[in-house]
Amino acid sequence: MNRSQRTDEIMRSLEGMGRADAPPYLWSKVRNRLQAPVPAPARWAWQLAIALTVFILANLFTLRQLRQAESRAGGGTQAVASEYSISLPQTY
Amino acid sequence: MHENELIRALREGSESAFAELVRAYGGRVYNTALSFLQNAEDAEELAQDVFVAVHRGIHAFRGEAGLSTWLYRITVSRSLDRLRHRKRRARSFFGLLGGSKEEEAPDFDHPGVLAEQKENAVLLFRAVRTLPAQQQAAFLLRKTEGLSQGEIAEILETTVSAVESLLQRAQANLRKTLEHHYKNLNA
Repeated sequence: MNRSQRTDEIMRSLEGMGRADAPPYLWSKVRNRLQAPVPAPARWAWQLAIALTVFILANLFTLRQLRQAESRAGGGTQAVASEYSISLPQTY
Repeated sequence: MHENELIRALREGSESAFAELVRAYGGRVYNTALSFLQNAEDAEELAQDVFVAVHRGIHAFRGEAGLSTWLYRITVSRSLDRLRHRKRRARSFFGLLGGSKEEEAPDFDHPGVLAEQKENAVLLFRAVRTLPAQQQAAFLLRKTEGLSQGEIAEILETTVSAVESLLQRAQANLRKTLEHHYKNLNA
């Protein structure tokens, strides 16, 4: 038998096939699933959400602190320099 | 029970109507899922999913297509989703770690295939896994459910000529895969 004939034979292998029977008790299993309460989101999902929120808030807080520190930096340097009698160079 | 009466009873939440729906269409839904997924356990789970989805979505059923078309549509779409998920998982880090490859899935012996064709059907089902989704859907609905091109077109929401083309391309691709496999066996 050549390759083409063999391929034809395989291609015809589903001819006359029947339908697979539905599994037994399919209706009972479906009914059980319908009666089961809808599952709440998993505990780990809540924990992950809380951890992410804390992480984002901590980052926002740090950024805010940095901005405030930067905005104070100009006047602050001058004050420290005069307190300790340090002369700041005019050019860098 | 007539289809319209069945739909009305389903919408009213009748449990006996739903039992009748599962009895009447359970075989079609399960057989379709089995042909796509090539695994009895997965097919049974998917069949249950389909009926649960039908129960929850019966109010959204507009009745533009027949009940069986709607059921087939849900089954095909969920089966293809499941196959995509399997492929993604096989390609993922954990899939590679576990050594799972979709192409290396165990051979599938469909219970409805004639005894003398079992061996060939295993090869054909293996080749079917390599087809693109739409070709796979058209081919399996035609061969394992015996649906007409018109029925398949309705399920896949396309035209009859598009289904004809899908079937031709599926046959050509399957022949190519099988001839390649046969050549490797003889080499």
